[in-house]
Amino acid sequence: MSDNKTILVVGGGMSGITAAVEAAEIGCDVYLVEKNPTLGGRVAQNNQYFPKLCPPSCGLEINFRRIKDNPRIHYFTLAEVESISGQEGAYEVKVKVNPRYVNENCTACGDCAKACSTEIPNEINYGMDTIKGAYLPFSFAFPLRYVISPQIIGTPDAQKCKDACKYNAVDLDMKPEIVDLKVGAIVWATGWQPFDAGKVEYYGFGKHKNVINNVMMERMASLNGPTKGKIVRPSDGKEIAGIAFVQCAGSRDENFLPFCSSVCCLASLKHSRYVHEQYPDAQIYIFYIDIRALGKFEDFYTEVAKDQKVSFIKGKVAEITEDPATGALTVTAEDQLSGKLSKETVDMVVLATGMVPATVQTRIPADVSYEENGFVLWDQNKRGIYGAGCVRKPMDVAAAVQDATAATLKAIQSTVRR
Amino acid sequence: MADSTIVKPDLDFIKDVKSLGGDSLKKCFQCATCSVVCKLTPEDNPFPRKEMIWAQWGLKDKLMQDPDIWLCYNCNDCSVHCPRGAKPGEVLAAVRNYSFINLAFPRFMGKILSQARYLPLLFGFPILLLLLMLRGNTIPSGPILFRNFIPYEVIDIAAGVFTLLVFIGLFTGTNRFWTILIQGIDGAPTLLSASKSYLIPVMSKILRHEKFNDCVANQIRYYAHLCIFYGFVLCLIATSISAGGIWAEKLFFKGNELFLPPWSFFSVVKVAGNLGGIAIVVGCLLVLYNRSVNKDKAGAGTYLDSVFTWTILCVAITGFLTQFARMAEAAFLAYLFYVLHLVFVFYLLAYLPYSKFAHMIYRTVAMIFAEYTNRKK
Amino acid sequence: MDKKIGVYICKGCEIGESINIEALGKIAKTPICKSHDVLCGKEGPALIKQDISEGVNAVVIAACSQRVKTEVFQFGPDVLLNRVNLREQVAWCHKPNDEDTQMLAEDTLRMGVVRIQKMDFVTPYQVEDIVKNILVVGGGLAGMTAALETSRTGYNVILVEKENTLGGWVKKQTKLCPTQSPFEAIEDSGMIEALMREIDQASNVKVYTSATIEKISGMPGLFDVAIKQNGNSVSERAGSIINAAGAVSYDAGKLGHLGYGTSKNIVTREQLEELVAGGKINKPSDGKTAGSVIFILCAGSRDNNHLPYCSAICCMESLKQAKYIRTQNPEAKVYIIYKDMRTPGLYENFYKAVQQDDGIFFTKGEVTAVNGNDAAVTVEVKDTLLGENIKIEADLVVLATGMVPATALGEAIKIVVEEEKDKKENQPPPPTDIIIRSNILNLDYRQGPELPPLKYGFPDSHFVCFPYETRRTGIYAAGAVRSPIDLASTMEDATGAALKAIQCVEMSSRGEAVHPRAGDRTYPDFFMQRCTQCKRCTEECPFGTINEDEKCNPLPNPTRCRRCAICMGSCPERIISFKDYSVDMIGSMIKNIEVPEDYEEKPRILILACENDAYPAIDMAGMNRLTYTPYARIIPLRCVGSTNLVWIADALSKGIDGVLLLACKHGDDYQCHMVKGSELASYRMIKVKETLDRLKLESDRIRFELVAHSDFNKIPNIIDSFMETIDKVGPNPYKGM
Repeated sequence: MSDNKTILVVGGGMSGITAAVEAAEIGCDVYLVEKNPTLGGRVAQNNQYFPKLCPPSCGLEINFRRIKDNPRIHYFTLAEVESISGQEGAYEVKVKVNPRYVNENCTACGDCAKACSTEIPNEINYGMDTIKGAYLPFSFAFPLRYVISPQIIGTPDAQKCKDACKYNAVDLDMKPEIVDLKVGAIVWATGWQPFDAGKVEYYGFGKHKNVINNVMMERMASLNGPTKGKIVRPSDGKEIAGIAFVQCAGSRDENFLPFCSSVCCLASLKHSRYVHEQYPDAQIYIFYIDIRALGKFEDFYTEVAKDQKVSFIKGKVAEITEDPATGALTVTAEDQLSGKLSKETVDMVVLATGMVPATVQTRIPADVSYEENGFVLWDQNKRGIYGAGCVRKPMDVAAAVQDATAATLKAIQSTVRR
Repeated sequence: MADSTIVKPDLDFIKDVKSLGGDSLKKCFQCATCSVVCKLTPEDNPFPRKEMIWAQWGLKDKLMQDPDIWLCYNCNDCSVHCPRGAKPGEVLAAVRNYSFINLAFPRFMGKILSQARYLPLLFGFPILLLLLMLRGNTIPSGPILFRNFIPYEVIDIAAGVFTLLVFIGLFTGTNRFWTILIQGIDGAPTLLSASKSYLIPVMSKILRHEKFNDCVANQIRYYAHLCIFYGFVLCLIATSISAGGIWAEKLFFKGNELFLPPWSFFSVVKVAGNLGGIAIVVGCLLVLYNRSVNKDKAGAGTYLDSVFTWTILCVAITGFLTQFARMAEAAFLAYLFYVLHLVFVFYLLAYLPYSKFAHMIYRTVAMIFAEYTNRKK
Repeated sequence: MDKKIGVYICKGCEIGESINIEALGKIAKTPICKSHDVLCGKEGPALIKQDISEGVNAVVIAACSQRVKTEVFQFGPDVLLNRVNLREQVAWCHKPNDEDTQMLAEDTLRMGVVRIQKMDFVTPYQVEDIVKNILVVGGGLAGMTAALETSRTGYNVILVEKENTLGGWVKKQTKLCPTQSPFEAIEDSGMIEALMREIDQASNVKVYTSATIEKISGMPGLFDVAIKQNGNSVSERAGSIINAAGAVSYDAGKLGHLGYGTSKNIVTREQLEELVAGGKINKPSDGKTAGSVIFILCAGSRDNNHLPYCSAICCMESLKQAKYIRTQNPEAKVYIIYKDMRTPGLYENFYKAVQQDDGIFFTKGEVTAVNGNDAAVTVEVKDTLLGENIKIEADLVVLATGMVPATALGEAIKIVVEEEKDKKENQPPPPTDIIIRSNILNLDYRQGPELPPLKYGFPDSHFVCFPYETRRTGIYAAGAVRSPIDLASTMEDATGAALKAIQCVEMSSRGEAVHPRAGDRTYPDFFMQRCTQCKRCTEECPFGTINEDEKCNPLPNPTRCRRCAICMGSCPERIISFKDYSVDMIGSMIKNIEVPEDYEEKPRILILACENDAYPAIDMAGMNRLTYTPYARIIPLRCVGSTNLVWIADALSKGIDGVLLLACKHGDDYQCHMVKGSELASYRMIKVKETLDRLKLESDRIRFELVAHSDFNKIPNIIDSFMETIDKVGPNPYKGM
């Protein structure tokens, strides 16, 4: 018998943050565990949301404030759940907190980054550029604290960072710690990974430099991205005169992801707005099987469709060839309404790739039900651990917030003993 | 509104196509990956996406009239990449199979050839025929001479009769086919005049196996079909020379055993026959191997395909076995294999207009039609 | 309570290198003023706590932004706290050791001290007799789920349903679209029956069927609900409310272009479901079996002449109904004509499963004509995937119509009516809400009886990150009334709404505000003696917090309040204030800015920045070391809508040359967290410009700019270009008076 009303939230993206603040504001104690150095997850890597084209950092600002103002929330970053034991109402969880090599003295002044000379691939920008070995993930990171990458630990550069810090914030001897938590219920919100489009050979992703995927486009359009917000061709930085969006790239495809990821159509519509904001005369092609702009999102589709320079072609692209001399790409699809093959040559191709639930790579260390693609299922007979957000099914941000709110209530129910 | 075509789906047609190997046709969701991936598809009128939806809608007439199903070489590039596992390659093969039945004269022959349950009947018939020809003969003693077991004249009479029937069937079928193809085209030529104009370029393409080589997913098929095709040609040459020799002996060189089988191992007949046989065996094995390896994505092939492949293989194998048994002087086995060999040859040739073998003629006609329509443009 | 103020200045993060700290300290004029090299280190808070134990009860931290290091500077509810930004907005974005930077730092500190002098200790609002019951209006899938989830969490529920049985739309379905993995098969309605049984058995759920809400008055924690059931009136009390009133089918009578009405055999999805429930799917005209059926998807949806939006479930429902027909009659032919097949996410499996049926034929296409009589119906379709225009003849045509929320049905009322004098002077009309009298909640609110609808009548929040935050505190919408939605999502939505409803009563019981100022314990205080009953506050509050009595006196309801202070900004008599935020406070801060008489080198502009988006953007500009004019003085506001016009007057009469308001985006795609704040401020500024013109002051001196949270790179340009405008306009003639 336990009256443990504490809730553990695993994953500090939009769903996890929502679960944490909603639970804490009702009155629960909450532990929030995030594996990256900052909260925010993949939404923080978005430039804007559809349909309002508003910045994710705006909502995150409010949510971070709610976390700051609420003493019931204890969050751990660079942390992962190692093991879960127990049952609904009484779980014992071991969390491994990896070293940040920067302690709470950090004032985010940036001196360590200035002193550091090593550059490492920047995972936040999906490897499209590099970042210093001592870095702040982005200006609204939470906590606002620098990180020293394990890749430079042990090198002289790490010592340079330590020496540059005026506040004794760099601790190169930090070790991983294990934290033992006792909680009543768990909300698992670890989100998703972008599908690896390299698996679809006829797209040439990874071979042709100017074929990118939708999350990379999002970074490119972001002010804090690899090109400071300017959408240009990766091979030579050329401006965009023509661009093609390939919907269902590796999705709705039994050879890859058999399901639909729900948001990629809207994401491409959003991207076409980005492109036209920067290049009003660019010719945009969107190749689709079905445009899935459900409910009130239809308005967003209608708006984009009004744009004369956006052509919608019903037919999936199944071939992308590159002109090695210019880097230009030719995409081929069957334009089903005219019944002819459509070949368009463009500067850049964006593959609208889908979401793979994080549980494909990292299973929950407990008895939980999954459906065949790895998404976590709400199982009546396995209460206590609840999936929330995209780890449960592909969804847009507003739906993920609702889902997390619902999962939180279920978690609270698990802690209520009557 | 301009020109709406009234559509009436034929549910029976759908059932038939599904049972002929196109059982996955309903899975297609019209993404058109197949049309892009196909190396043989023309840009201004790509296939096989539209054939898939016509098949789904049971639009039998549209498909029977569609020359594009014959432009497909069943390489299965499309099936391998199809996101839904709809196997367009198999579906098109099934539609072609349906065509054989549709064009078959008499119609019931088309039906029987397409269903496994009639196999006993189909094999039973030639076995019965051969038993009749044997008329209670026992195994002859002495050197193994097949003409002593079943006289050539008997075989020739049977061959003559069935060749005639085959020709009638083929003639009717191809004329029907041509009529359907040219429907709606003003001033279309007859099959004869079209053949005069286009047969040569078509034959050139066939001999070079040009289209096979364009397909990517299944390069093996190029080699396999090449082997089987030319293996067959070689066997045909061998058989023709052999038959020619027999008739020459009968007519001009009576008693001269030089013109009669059994031929020396290094004679033209034997060399051609054996090489041909080896080619056929290699080709068929490649086909069977390829099908089993790719069966998840590309499909295992339709019933008609399988029967055809196995029949040819058995023709070749029984041929070799007959030869070896004769060379080893195992009389009973030699005569047995000979009889079996004849049964398989009968299946292959007598049922030609109704089995997969008919593709030889129908495809050629379709290619002639394609040449004609291309030139017309 | 007497305040002993301690000012603590940090010298770290280049502040000490940028500013003369000693000189700065002299500005404070407080009993205690100390500086430290690293105020956020361990010694800093220890030092401050020491002083607190010796009597300091108001602490000014002059260091980094109020947005950072909050965990370090925590001194409990008995100590007032104000953060003064000397880092991101002074040291990091201006020239070090420069006179102007020093003056900026001094003004900033001055304002910070004045602010804390005007702050007061907070006692939270106590709701007497708070009630924690949750009222759920609507007993369909959303309502039942919300009720049940609330009940399972241990709270009492009052469930009101207008029909004589629970179940709503979902109960009328013979079978259901898939809600369980692998989402391939149609499900029977066992789930609905199980829900209804559980509600029946739940001891803490009170169900009223054949009942409607006559009136709801009060506020979160204290709602008085008058329910009318079968002619009798019943009173209940509730703490928060969930509107789960659902949706109705679009009126097919309007779909004449699709033949509706020309033949009995052209029916809607709903009518088909009734035929299915009846047992056999027969032609309504003659009762014969329907051997062929055509489904026209998006009938009257995605159509500007009817419903411009997509109703999300019609594709799935049509697939389900196609399967009904084929299961009943294996000889039937079913055609599905779609624009796009919308089976998102894992529902793709359902599409795949239904496709397998031999007798269902799909094509994309545009229906151009539907001609029917009682014998047969023909449908003509163009732009198909079959390569030509087609004509199909069938026994039955089903129009897959969309849904309209119950909140969209009713008379539309304008809350704020334009005044005649404004119309005469060609003034822009005041921002107003249109409320639809849909007779669902019947709120006794001055701002209208229902939740304000957004697009198409859905009472949604239109916040991507906060979908539950409707315009009425404590009242949440869930299910199809909020947005077209599928079954499984309806249940999640309702569960989430249940949490929000519970959360609201819990926070209200602690005297706390809910989102976005979650946890805020201040609340507006009205000095009624000076009220002139002008109705500005009652009209402008975006959340309907303030009712009116017959004499137009405002009657505030504190638990409805989101503490945005827009009312404070609207009041011309300035009678509204919060314990830690008042007109006097900001006014005094402005009046304490030192304005040099000599304009030539020292102009002054005041920036009123929304603390939600603009202030963080300015911080991030500083973090990126972007520079802009040092003549700007920045004051963060809870919401730019809380700007009281007297501050403009204060600024101008002080000699400040210009006032720049940095607000969040408003309009259809609003980002303003208070929904209307930015828009209201913008409207007020238009009015101010008239006043300025009359005072012969250039209206260019006031500027209203929209800034998004991510716009940090635009900040220097926005501020500097305003400075340029002011330079052109010239110094404020009231300087030095």
